[in-house]
Amino acid sequence: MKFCTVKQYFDDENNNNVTNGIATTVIPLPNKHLKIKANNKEMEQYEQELLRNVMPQELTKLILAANYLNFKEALDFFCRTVANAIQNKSVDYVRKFFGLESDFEPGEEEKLCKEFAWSFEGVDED
Amino acid sequence: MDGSGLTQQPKKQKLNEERDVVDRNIKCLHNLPEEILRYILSLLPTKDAIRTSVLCKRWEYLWTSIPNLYFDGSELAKRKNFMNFVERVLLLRDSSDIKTFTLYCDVLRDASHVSAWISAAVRRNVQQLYIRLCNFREPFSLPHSLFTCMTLTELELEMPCILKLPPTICFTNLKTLNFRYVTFSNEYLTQKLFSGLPVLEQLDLDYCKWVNIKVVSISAPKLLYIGITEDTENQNDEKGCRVMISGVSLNVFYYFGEFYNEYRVYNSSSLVDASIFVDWSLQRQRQVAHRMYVLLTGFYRVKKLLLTNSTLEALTNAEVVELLPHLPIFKNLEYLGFDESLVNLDSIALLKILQKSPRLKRMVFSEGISLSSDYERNDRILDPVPPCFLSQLNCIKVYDYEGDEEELSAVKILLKNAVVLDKMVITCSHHFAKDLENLNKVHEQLLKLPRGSKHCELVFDLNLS
Repeated sequence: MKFCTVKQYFDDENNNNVTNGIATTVIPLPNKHLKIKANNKEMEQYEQELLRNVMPQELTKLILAANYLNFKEALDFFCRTVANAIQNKSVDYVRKFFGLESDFEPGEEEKLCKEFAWSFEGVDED
Repeated sequence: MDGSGLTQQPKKQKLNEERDVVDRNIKCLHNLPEEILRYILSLLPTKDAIRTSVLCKRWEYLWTSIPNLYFDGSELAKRKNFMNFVERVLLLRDSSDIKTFTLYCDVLRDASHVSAWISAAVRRNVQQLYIRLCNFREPFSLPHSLFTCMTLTELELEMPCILKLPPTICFTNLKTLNFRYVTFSNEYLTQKLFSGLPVLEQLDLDYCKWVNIKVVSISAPKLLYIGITEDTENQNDEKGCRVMISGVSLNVFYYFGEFYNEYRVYNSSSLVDASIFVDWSLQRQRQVAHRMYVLLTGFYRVKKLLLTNSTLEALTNAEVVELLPHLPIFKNLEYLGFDESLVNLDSIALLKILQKSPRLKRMVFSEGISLSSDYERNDRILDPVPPCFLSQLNCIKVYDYEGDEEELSAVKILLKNAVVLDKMVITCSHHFAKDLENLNKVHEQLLKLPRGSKHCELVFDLNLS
């Protein structure tokens, strides 16, 4: 694979502990991906495992690494994992997942919810 | 208080503080670059993507570039919210191109709103448009801009009302077109529509009506597939419409209906696969038979033909039976299949078709066969024996077998006459496969039947899958 960019990435990154974490997850990915590309069910299982073992912060690192390495399939896979994780979840859940805090004025948020009321039907309770 | 407890607590607190500091430095998902966040949003269903508007200020308009919009307002109870939602989303959405736009809704008295929404999608260079509208309480027309949309490649339009066509129609890039429940009422403009499809490859006309239209010619030079399912409701016009289909590139033809309209396929040298599933009532048999015959004559080059028992029965109408010997030779026909219902082998139409198919290699009866057990008469069913039975027919498959006398008689006559048969596969119905007592008996019966072909293998399939 793209060995020069990989080496460059290691050189750039300051925090060695974090780099090692990424190395063990991202680098084996091309092989695993190639092996299980055809098999959707295995991908789903792998995705479940990933979500369980990897904290949202780690997922951020994985996405950034895949983006930097220009590794399209991995980037796509991780983004889909995030999308699947937040699908049909409540606003609070999604905020927690992304590490966000509401910075709306009181009443602003309510107004938005009212405008988009139809999209709030049938959302999972926390 | 325990001495050791006192000393342990401050240590623990210190560790937690350290971890907090580290935590704050580690990037959170929300710090991902904007393009990646937008990409994630584009992977979500429309509802979920737009809900992120509420997360925080930075996210309020992040969703506005999602390329695919899906609006299903089938639930009437939430209508007001739905209408407001669609209005708002289309108002706020940025000017980037829309790739897929799906709208399922009841129109009621909001015709102008619905039309405006479709217009908005067209303005943003939509490529795939899926529209299902119903419940019109006022006249409705699609925006004119839709009919000259250069970016449209796929259009699905389900609209049980009259399709009002504008004077200018040009679908330059449309490859897939599906009309459902649409009523065509202007002969001139409808003809213009079906002449302005330069790159169309797939056309489906489901339950469409032709009102006050005598003839229409569908001539799409790149058309590969056409499927027509006729409306089963009685049409007002006695004669219906004559639909002429130019099959210059056509590979596959599918028809299901009662021939309320007439269909002819011409220039059909590339047609490989044709299916004609017909339904008919006694008082219309004559018309159905004629139209069936006309359609069949256009299929003389097909390799695969799928019919039903009703098709055969329709063709045995007195007037048309006279014409059967004049059927063209199906010179390329290799596969003849029957679907929908049991086929009665005692059919002059079947015999004639078989006699006109010199290269037939395979016959498949998906819903089984039968023949009345009149031994004397049965020998004359295949008289004269079709040439394909003597030199080409190498595989016959019979499904839904239950071991009756009638089925056995039918299998007997086929085995006797197909003298170059390699394989006869008899598959049991699910129901019969459970009758363990009789299965063996029936299998024995089949194995004892005399075979015209010395090397023929009889496979008895219990259909356990």
